[in-house]
Amino acid sequence: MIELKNVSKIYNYGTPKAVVALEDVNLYIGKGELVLLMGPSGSGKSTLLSLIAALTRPTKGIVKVENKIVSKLPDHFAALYRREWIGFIFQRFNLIEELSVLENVLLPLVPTPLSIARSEERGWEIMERFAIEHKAHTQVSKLSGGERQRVAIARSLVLDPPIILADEPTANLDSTLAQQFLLLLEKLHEQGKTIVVATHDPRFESLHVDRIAKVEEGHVFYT
Amino acid sequence: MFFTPEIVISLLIDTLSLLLLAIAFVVAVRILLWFDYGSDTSRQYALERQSYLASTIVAFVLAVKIPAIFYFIYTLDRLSLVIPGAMCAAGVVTANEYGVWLFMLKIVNIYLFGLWLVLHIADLHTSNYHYTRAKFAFFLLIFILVLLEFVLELLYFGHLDISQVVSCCGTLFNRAAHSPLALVAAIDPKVIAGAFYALYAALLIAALAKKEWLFSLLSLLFLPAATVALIFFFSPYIYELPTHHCPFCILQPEYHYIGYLLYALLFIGTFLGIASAFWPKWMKKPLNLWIPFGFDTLFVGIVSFYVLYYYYQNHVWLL
Repeated sequence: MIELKNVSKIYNYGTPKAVVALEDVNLYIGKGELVLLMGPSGSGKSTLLSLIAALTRPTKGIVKVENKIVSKLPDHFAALYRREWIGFIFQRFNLIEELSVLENVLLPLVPTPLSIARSEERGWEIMERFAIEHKAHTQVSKLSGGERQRVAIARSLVLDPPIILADEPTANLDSTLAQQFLLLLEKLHEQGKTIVVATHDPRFESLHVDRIAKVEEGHVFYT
Repeated sequence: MFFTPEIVISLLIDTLSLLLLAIAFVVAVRILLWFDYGSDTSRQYALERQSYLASTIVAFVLAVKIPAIFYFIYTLDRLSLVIPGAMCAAGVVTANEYGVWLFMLKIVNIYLFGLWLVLHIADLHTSNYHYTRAKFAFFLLIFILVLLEFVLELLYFGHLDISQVVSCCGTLFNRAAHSPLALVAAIDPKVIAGAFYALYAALLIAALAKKEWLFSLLSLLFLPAATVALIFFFSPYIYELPTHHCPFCILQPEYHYIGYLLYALLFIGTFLGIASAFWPKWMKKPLNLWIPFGFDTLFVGIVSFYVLYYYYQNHVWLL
């Protein structure tokens, strides 16, 4: 499903400020797998997720999803690919503070051909699923950390993507909320979603994962 | 050499354009040498990023240069106020040996710029950089022509002499003039008009039959045919003067700047018509031929209106 072949990512490549984030990474993630990328901060986990999501391009190597090369997609096609395939949960949630919960959740539906009525219906469904429908018209800036995270998850799933990428999803959560998140991931895994989580939170090791990959200084090792 | 605000602006636009295109030229050479979509090396990824930047620069410059031809025509028209003997841009453009070549090159270039932009848009619609090499190879030709245009423009403006009396349009487009146009002027204007309307009818038939290549070829012929018909058949009706044949005086305020509209319609219609042959291959869908035909029709409608209106007012044909 997801395949990285000899992928390197060097920021500021060709300049004296060059930083090697990933070096000659080879990785395969099968359909429906739940894979953890574990490693300390700055080891290259987030870069790896960004490459899978085609948010950034490798310096060399190939990233494939469902046998399609995504690392060479022009920007417009990369956006289409993300819309169809990827749900991304960011560490800092990346919500738009000025908008309401419903508006944030509906954002990914804006460029789709869905009607406004159908989009809103979909938005309400997903908010109910994550128990945030009672906050639908509340501005995001007025929500607690846990609520914000649920909004972020709802937004990432509103298009029902087959791949979910989560970058340090529990970094800003207390242990109760983190536990809830782990249960949610397990549920999504059971539904057949391919999930890749980048974390250095040891609580994830209690999850029933298919594989754990250690990321250290730009190299990836399976444990 | 002398300067007017219009000359300074024209030279400034072309100098900046050339500088920006020179950046893209360097990238274009690299792309033609090393671009290989199948490769996953750091150089290939860098070239893909650079191609995006260079294409954006070229698209921007060409999109500015296409309408800039009207500014150039306006500049020529304004210069007729300072060059003795010139009544309009016609006298200015023939003031030295470089003007006509420069003007012709500018017209050829806007068609090539338009084709490049169509190819660029087609490339943006592919996920595998399908036309990237082709569009940069095409760009090399365009760069050489833009460079030539710049040199000609420097020579042209540099050799303008306000102490020298030039010919006015009345002399230049006269049947007795010693120019290639004099040969055309010798043809009966009714024959010219007949050929013009016949070509327009042929365009209609090609559009009805959805024959893109035929439509393209006819559009290519329609451009000179319409220009000649405008000079030798329609212009006397626009000026309401049987001896006045000039493609430039219609740009002046006395004629409500109608020339700008006429040339814009003619250029857009014939450009889209010519491009219709390449459209299906590049854009993966045929161009609706009624769009270029619509522009052609507006052109034909306006010039014909002048003839009919004159006849309605005066009950006499001028030619």
